[in-house]
Amino acid sequence: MPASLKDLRTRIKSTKNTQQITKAMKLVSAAKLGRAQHQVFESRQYSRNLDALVSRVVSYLHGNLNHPLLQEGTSKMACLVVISSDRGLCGGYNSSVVKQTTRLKEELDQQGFSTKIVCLGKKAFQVFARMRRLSQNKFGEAKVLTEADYMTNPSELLSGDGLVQVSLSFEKPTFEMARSLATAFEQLYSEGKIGKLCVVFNQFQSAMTQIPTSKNIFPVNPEHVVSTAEPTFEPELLDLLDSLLPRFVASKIFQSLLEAVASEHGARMTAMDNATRNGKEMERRLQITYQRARQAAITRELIEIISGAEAV
Amino acid sequence: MTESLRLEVFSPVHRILSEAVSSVYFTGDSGVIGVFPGHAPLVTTLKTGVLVYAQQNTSGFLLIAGGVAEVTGDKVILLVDVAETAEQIDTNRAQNALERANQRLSSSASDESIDKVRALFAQQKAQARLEAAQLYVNRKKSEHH
Repeated sequence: MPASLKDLRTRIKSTKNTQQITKAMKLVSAAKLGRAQHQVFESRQYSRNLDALVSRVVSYLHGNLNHPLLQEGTSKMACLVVISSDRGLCGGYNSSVVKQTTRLKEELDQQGFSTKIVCLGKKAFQVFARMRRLSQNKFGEAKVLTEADYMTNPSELLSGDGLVQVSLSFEKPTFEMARSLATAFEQLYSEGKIGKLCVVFNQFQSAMTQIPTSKNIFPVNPEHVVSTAEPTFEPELLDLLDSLLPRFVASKIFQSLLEAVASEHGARMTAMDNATRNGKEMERRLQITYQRARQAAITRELIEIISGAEAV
Repeated sequence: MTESLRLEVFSPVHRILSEAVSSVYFTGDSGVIGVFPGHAPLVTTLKTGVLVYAQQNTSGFLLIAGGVAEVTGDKVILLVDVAETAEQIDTNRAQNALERANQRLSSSASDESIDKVRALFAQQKAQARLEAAQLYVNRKKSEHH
């Protein structure tokens, strides 16, 4: 028995303390998940209706996609928006978006794109910064942008050696946040600075399952539907698209953000639940070891006393 | 009159309204549009204004600021940027906002730093808010008599 009784007691105490923390974190995440889930479901209705509307409206162009946001970009620069979390302790949440991003990046490399990465959330940014450090053996610039930065100059999003972090509040994602990002990217796309934009995030399915997903934003490529009788457009079709498509893009980004936030809480809840369970198991084993050690010590002491008494 | 139109209003964060109505009026790109059952299919952008819908015995009012609307057969779907039901509108706040916007607009001729478009938009929004609230109050009054 290598560990002394005192050591074992301290370890048992500390596993108990850890369990309390993980249990509390689970409860907090469960409460936050409830709210986030509600938001996701509410906003899915808007985005689903908008998706359908955009698909229908675009179908009346009859393949003649003469709106700049619908056309394939000329630039061979792709930009990936990666939504991760600011905080850890959420299981595989962050690593699964990173993996998905790496896979997508390789695909884009093969298609001849060079990629820039914009991270929403600290965690993915840290991982990519470390990857860069290991592969190029140098410290890149750690660039953190705020909303004001990319609002005044959208090309800031492509700076920082192709890796930047946008700091935003995951506690309360607002549509305005998504819209300002969307506007900045829209400008970059229409100026031809990027030819492709994707978001990578965890799609929320349930507290147990989050699916790493990537969605194309630019060029805007709505689902194909068969066009029915043409409705009246006010204003006319192309002007209508001018106000429809930016909303479509903002709604996509907003929806991804909400899905990601709900997924984060779900993932953390599950991870902390597992941690609590593992903690319990560990405590049980330590308890057994402790009792065995204690019994052994008592027996040893008894033997010593008895043999001492016999000797007299 | 039958309530055979389905009116659904969504904002990016909420479903605001889902009701069976007999008619709807809202401010489209080219002015106020009235929709009755059997309206021709239409897709339009929305301007800041008041949406009025009528049901059998009652009517409702919403403030709407920007968005798109689609009319198909018996369905009217509005995807709005901002919307408030008349009950939610804070008249005092709207009144203050209107005064502020008016002030900014009148001083914008001399002061270059004021964003005139934003001020105009704020003015419109405040006016529409007040209008919706007023309509709501009027309806309540008429119900009492």
